[in-house]
Amino acid sequence: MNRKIHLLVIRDIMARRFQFGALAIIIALGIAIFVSMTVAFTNAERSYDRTYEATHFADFSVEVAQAPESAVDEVRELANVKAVEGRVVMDTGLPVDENRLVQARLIGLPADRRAAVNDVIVESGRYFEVDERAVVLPLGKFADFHGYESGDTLQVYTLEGLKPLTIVGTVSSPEYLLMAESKQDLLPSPRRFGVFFVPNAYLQELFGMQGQVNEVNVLVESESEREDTIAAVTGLLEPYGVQQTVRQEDQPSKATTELDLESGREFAVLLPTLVLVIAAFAIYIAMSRLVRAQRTLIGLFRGVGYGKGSIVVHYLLFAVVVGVVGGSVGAAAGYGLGYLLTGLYADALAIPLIAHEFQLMPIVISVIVSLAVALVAAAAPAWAASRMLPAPAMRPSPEVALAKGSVPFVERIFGLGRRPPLLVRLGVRNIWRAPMRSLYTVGAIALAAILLVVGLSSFDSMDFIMDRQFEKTDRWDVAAAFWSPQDDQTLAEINGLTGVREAERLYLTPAELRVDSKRTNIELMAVEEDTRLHGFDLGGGKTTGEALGEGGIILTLGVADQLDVGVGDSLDIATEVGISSLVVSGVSREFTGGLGYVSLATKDELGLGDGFNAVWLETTSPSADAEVQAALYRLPGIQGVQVKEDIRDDWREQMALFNVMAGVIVAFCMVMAGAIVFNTMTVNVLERERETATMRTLGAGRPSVVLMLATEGLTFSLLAILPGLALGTIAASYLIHTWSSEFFTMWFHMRTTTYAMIAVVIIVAALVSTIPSIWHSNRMNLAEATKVLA
Amino acid sequence: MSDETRTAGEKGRSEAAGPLLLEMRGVSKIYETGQVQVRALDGVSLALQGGELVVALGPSGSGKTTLLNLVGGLDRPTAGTIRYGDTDIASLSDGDLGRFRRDHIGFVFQFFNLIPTLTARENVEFAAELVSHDSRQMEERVEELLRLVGLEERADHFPSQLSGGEQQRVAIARAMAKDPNILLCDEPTGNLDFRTGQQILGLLQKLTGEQGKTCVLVTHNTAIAGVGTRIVRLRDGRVQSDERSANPLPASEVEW
Ligand SMILES: Nc1ncnc2c1ncn2[C@@H]1O[C@H](COP(=O)(O)OP(=O)(O)O)[C@@H](O)[C@H]1O
Ligand SMILES: [Mg+2]
Repeated sequence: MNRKIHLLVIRDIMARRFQFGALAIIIALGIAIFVSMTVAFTNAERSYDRTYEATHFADFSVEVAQAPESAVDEVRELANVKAVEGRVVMDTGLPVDENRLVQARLIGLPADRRAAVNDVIVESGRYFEVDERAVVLPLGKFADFHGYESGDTLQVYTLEGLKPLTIVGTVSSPEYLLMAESKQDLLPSPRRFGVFFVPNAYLQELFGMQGQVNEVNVLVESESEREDTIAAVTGLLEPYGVQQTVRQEDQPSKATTELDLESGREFAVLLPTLVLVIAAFAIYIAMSRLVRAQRTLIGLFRGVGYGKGSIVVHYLLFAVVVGVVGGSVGAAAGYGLGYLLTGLYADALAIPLIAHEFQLMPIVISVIVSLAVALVAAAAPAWAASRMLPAPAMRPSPEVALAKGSVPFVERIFGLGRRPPLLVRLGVRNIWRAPMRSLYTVGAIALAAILLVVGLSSFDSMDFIMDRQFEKTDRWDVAAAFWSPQDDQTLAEINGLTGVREAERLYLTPAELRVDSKRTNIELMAVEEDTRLHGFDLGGGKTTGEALGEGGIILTLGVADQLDVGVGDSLDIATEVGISSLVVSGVSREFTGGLGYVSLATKDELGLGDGFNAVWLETTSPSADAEVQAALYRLPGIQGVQVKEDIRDDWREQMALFNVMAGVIVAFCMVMAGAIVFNTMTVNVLERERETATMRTLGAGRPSVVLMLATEGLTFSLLAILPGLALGTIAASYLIHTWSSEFFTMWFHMRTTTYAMIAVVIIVAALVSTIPSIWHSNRMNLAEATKVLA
Repeated sequence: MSDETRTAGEKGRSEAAGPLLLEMRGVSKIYETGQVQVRALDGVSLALQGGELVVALGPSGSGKTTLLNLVGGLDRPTAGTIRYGDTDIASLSDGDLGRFRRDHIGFVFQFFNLIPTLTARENVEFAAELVSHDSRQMEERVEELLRLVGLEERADHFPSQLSGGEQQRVAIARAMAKDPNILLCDEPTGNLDFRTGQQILGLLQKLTGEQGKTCVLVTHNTAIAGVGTRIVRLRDGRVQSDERSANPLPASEVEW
């Protein structure tokens, strides 16, 4: 290692600093993505965990119709129960202005002490004081959105009409880190839904439940015995009407954030892997060129007595430098970026306790991985160098040895009749002269195309899915839900409202589906058999009328996949009135998971309540939506009204953030594609310096040289585009498919124009990246370059 | 353009000089490398005439290559003028220099510099295409040149399949393809064994003697000097002597 020749490594690298710089950048990009995402997600995960711990997040909750507080005390005595809290949870309405009602979830908390399970974190103001009554702690997110502060008074609907509650502070809750009303609520928005903590005793009073609770939250001693405990607790509470048991991992906020983290972590490995594969290609290409360029020097080294081992070590040292520089720059940048991302993520989700802890592991992994990638890539060129004969300096021209000189097979086929012009022939043969390198080059450009497809298809797919959801699936304009079932008189009243063209009845209720050992919670929607306001996509075969008419259940794709059932299978359905069996009569391709559809008649057969508790409305025009919404709010018993366009706007807002991220990915892909093409074209042109100089010396003008090099860059990109787009499509479909979950189903979709755009981007990137080479060729000192040996 | 020179040259090589073709006056070239200035050429005046085979002789570093580069329009002098016909090539733009090279100069390099991906014929065609737009005429010329250098049999071979001497012959055919008035050869035999070198020198004698081309051949090898019709000795960037030789040696009698 202390041999003099190794000092040359730094000098050689400095002499080719742009090229080695480009290589280090590609490695750094890959490492930076890995480190930043890993750091951010680990930070987020730890923040969640801290929050869960600090607030004693329940291991499971049991919802009951109504149970006496004494039952909660009995639960406390059960084995493996560490702590338990009984509370009232009530969904009601809260007017935020004259025409708008948000759905308010009121949750009881003890006023004389802090809850032992599912406590809150006070963000501003203070917690309740002993014996306080008409006070409220809204979630910070809700208060911020509507501009509420401590001291403001809110009105909520109770059994005795509107009642005032005074805000004493704002909080965050482990159950509502993501303020989702339910698992089906994919787009939680404080516009429609808010969570409010109220002294439990006062809440009991407001809803006539003195001494009673309807939810029991439990913390267990031993995680592994939780199922037994659940059985014991539900057994104990059975007499009080157990409606649902929600395990921590199924809890909407927890499940969604967990899923987020999971797909994030997958991405944090997959993307860097792709980038590092590309880096390896680029390093291999550059190192092969270096070894060829230095054959004389290698001959000299061997001549003066350096052994093969020294030569191998010498060339591996280049890789070590590139790996260490790229790896450490990437790790440092990634670490900084990771903190930034953690902050953004924490902001976006309002994680209360942000954990910024030093993480050694991502750095260690980065260093090892970047070194390994560089070493593996340089191994073959270094080995080839060590096997060179000691006296290649005798060879006048390395190019002659390089180019075997044969008429390529393609040319023989296509050049049969009229021979193509010399410059075109040259371009084609230049690609043929180093077939392996050309293959790598095409491969590298293709990988850039793949990354672009993956990056851009996320835009297109989201657009496509939104379009599908809002145009094809949800065909209603306004939807409304009632607290309790309504009769046909209400329907007539709704139909009579100005601006309403047609109303369809609906019945919504939570249900649990069970097949063998698999189970999932869904929202069961009973709809009109001939519904026009919801578009099913059953994939041919049965019509919606047939599927609903025969008394079966239509599942959304996400649910069917999760339960692993198909049309014709039967399943058990547990609702508030008991367990029945249904046959799956259809699987609908819809974005939203967690839904099942039956006809209103089937609903009656299941024994669920009479009439309907929700409606879908078609309005006469979009401008009538607001008026219809206001009119609906004035109906008695209304729980909430949604305007589709508002939801769509929420989506667009959410997508704006998503678009920024996708935009970053695309920009990054382009930088990388540029670096790759730059590296390859630089190598190609450097290698042929003498040849190009000779052409210019003979009097070939700059335009001919530009034409030849541009033809080459263009040919590479043209060869790469088709396979790149094809493989990119496969990779993107796979990735998008993996994002699908029980909550939603995603489809790959990409516009033809996007494909075309990627092709153009690749071609432009290839041509732009040849500019430095063309520039170099045009500025070459011809007198010198025609004589260079290497 | 070359009709005049050709007729002049065809009168025979013993006849000392054809018409004036190119004239260097007080040409100096100074290279600046960092702090150091290298005076590669120092006030050189030299006139080239049609049909001459000028051997520029000098030790390594004496400025031979620099001289060729200036005559060939690869570089510009620091001082002095280089007239070719009515133009001072020292004052031409890059583009015009390129055209000057294309139209009037043929280069033969020590390391041949053939384009490895083109066959012998295509290498010659590459140069021919630069000046000719009539493809039939061009093809005929290429065949003729390959015959001239004795390579018609190996025309479809790639450089890697040719020996050094064969490669240099292709290079000469390539230089001739544009029918230039001036042929510049920098150590054309420097990389060849002596028998092959003889062939190359013979070829250059033939081109100057029979076709009236002017050839400047640069070498550090004194033995070669005899083949020239004129011998210019360079030392430290200056012309030390400039002699015409009434009876150049035939290439076959040169030995080294
Ligand atoms: N591009 C250059 N930069 C600096 N010095 C140069 C350059 N080219 C040639 N020289 C110097 O000019 C002198 C003449 O060089 P050259 O014409 O190549 O000599 P010859 O061909 O006779 O060996 C030498 O001292 C050489 O080092
Ligand atoms: Mg020289």
